Amino acid sequence: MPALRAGKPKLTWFRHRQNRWRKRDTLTAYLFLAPWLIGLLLFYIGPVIAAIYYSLTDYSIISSPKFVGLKNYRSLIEDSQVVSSMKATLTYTVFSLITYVVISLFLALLANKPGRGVGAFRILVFLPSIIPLFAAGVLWGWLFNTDFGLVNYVLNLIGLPSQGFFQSPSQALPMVIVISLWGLGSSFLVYLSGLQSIPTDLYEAIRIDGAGMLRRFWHVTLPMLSPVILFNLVIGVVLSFQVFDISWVLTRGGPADSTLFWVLLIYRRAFEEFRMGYASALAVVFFVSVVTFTGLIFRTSRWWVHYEGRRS
Amino acid sequence: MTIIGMIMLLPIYYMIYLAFSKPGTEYAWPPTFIPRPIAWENIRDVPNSGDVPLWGYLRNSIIYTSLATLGCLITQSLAGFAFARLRFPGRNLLFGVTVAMLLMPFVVTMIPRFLLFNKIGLSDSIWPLIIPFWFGGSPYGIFLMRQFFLSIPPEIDEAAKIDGANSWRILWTILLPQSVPVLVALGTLHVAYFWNDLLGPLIYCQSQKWKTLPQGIIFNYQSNWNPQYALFMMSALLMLIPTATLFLVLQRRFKQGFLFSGLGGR
Repeated sequence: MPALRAGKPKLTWFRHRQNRWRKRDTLTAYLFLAPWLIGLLLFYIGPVIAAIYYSLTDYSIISSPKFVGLKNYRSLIEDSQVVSSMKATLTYTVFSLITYVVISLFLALLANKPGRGVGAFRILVFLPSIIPLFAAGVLWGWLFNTDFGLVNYVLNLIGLPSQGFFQSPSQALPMVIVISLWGLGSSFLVYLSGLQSIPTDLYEAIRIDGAGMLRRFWHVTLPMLSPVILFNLVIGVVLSFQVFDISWVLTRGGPADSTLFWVLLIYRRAFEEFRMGYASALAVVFFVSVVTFTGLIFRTSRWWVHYEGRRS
Repeated sequence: MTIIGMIMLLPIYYMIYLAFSKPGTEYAWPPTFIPRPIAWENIRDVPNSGDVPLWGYLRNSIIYTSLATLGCLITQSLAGFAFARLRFPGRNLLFGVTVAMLLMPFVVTMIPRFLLFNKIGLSDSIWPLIIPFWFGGSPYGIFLMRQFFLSIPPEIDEAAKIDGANSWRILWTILLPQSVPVLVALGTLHVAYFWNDLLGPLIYCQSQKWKTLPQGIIFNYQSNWNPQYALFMMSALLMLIPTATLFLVLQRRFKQGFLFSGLGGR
């Protein structure tokens, strides 16, 4: 309250009351925040520290953790499954970002024009993403089944040979990437609401200047939308890194570990083999990768993200 | 647009197609445009025809979804209010930490959380899935509630404050009634997440009596040697009804873009 700093005697009573309010505010604030602060310590910060500690131990739940230094990290490098899971996860992340960031922007632009059928279009684009992932996995698996699937049936009809799809080591990962297309609903919605908050007078101004559609997109839509793009990019990275359900239900990580995503590997090491220390080391490396990835995005963001409120 | 719409419709169409196929005819050649005969009886058969009836799983899913969502909404509103309306030392720091947690993947905290619940003997139950959400749960909701409270003009509650209303009453009688749309939206997002969650239950719900619907459906109808696609898809389709309804009802609200209020520029 800068206005009160003038310190006129008349305001003493008022300021006194302000002080009392402020003390009460602090108390109330920490009271209101108490659940979250406990949760933050117990379920976020505590576990991260614990994960780092466990990653330096041998721990099989039954016995107590035994400190082994960096041994887990050393065996990580030699574990061929770790290498393939990193490769699969990174490939999936990079390509699914095209879906979540580029394709869903394109669809949102289409859905943002007034016209007949736009409402239905929005629902159609969004709806597939609420199919539970485990069900979607089974659905796609059956549709693209090597022996009985509808897609191979159609391929045979037009004279093409049957494909292995999810049963083929070279096709399984691209298939998982392709079907991520049907899960872009939430980034689509975020774009849509971002598009609708762009003031229309900006478009009118540039239209008077005689700009065509492409220039309108480049000079108004893209800069105004850039914070939203950043948001989708970051959330997309965090979510894509954690891809799990489909590989668990459909491919079980195979064939030949081609869809053995990182989370699936951690899950197996921790809850099927009970190697908690080793799995924690995997989780720590995972965490560092996500932080690096998003950190890079944030670092580059000041070159391309335009904040309307911060114009110089 | 029509073509894209058709492409997006494909999985839903095929899901409905399989759901109404007579069990055993999923393999039928050549495929028809609509299943013949349409097996309405699948709706009736689905809950009881697996190895274990789905009712127990359904009960667990409902407990998990409703209790976790309720906890989220309560604790996230409280935290969001504190960050948006109260001045206290450490606010910016704590809010910064909260936002940073947005980027914290579940996988990283997964193992220590499990070990924690294991120590207190809860690791084989549904409670570890619910308890964290009575402690704020996801920072996303806190962030969203704060942004929304900030978009409500502060003059109203300042006036109430001068009249002697405490923070609790301001939140409860002034801000929350105005936040019903955002609460519904946030609730829907949480419901969809908990309802479809697979990884969480896989970790904690080991014994039969705690397993949730996704596990139950997979267990009953997707065994490797004899997958029953028709019944699998029918149960998944029935499972889709609550979330689909919530989202369709919400669709008009999503359009207003409030889910995003304040993200650009702050």
